[in-house]
This record gives sequence, structure tokens and C-alpha cells, in this order.
Amino acid sequence: MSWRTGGVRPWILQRLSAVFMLVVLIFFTSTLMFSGAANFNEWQQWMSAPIWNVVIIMFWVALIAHAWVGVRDVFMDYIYSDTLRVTILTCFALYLIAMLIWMLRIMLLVGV
Amino acid sequence: MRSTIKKDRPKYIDLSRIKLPITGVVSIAHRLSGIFLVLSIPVWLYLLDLSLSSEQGYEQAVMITDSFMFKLLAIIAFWALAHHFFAGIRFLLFDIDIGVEKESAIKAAKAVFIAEGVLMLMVIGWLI
Repeated sequence: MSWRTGGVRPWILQRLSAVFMLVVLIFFTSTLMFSGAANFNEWQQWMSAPIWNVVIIMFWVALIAHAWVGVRDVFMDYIYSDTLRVTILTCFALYLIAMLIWMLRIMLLVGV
Repeated sequence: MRSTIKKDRPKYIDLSRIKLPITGVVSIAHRLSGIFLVLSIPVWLYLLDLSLSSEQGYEQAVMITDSFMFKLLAIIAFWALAHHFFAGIRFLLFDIDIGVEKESAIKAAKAVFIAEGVLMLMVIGWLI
């Protein structure tokens, strides 16, 4: 129970993923705004360019880790029944895993 | 242990009579916006998938994002993201001991709402 639900490691993960996403969001939106993708080909090229492709995958991985820790903290604060909390958190974990697989499918198949 | 603590605690859950300070509003809104953003992930992944699938898919995605209903959702999502973004920066600064004092914490909370308000006006102006 202790290392899974407690402590310092998720806390650090939450901060690191937050900072990483802050930086990527600022770079991504400013780059897209100034050298925007005006049509399908440009958009596809953009998303399949190694730099952005890898950064965006890393962004989503950070986002999903961040979402897991954040939602886990909220449920731990408000749901007192162990059974209910574990059930909801299990469903939520499955949801996040599904989102992760979907994201990887999209990002790895761009331009293939 | 936990149950005895809960029993002894005075209960005052009339939400309409609790005056939440601005710092508390930032905090609870950070949680609510986080939950909302998490639940909206499928929408963004669906659009990303569609826009990258083919030329027709791209056109279809553009059509969806041009619709009124989508713009409404986008404005709400942008607000959630803006709040989560700025309030998150405030919490990160707390971690390195910036703005922890009561007065500066309140100032920073106001700054969060001003920053997201300005950004929201820009986003709404850009979308409409």
C-alpha cells in the first residue's frame, strides 16, 4: 500500500511532468502559430517530423502520468470506502491505458 | 483510526454558507479543471486521429472544429487548461518557497485569474 499510494515519488513525478508539459505547451503553440500547418500534407509532415513526433509522444506520456497522480490524489481525498475507491481507480487506470495505446497508434502511424 | 477522527470532527457542510477564500477557489478550480481535462482526452485524440488519417479525414476534422458546438466545448476546455496552467505555475512556485506568505498567496491567486481571463478573451476573440 505504502509506495503505491503514498509519498514522495508520485509527488516528484507530478512536478516533473508539470514542468515538462509547461515547456512543451509553450513551444508547441508558439511554433504552430508562427509556422502553422495550413493543409493536410503540411500537418502530416509536421506531426511526423522526428522532433515533434517524439516530443508529442513524450508529452502524452507525461500527461497520462500526471493525470494518474492527480486524479488518484483527488479520489484519495474524497472517497473513503476502500472498495469504491479501488474500483473507480481501476476503471480510471484502464481508461488511461486505453488512451495511451490510442495515442501511440496515432503518433507511430503518422505518415506510414 | 480514520473513522474515529471523522466522528469527532465538527461538521459544517452547508456549502452556501462557507465563504471560500480566493486561494481556496484557485485550488478547487485546479482540481475541477484537471478532472475535466482528463475526461476530455478522447475528444482531442479523436480529432488528432481523424486529422492525420487522410485528406478527407483532415477536412472532416476542420469541419468539426468550425462548428458552433465544438467552439463552445473548446472555450470551456481552453478555460480549464488556462486555469490549470496558471494555477499550476503558482503551486510549482510554492514548492520553491515563492509566494507562500498569506498576502502574496492571495496576490498570486488574483494574478492567476487575471492571466487566465486575459488569455480567455484572446482565445474567444480568435475563435469567433
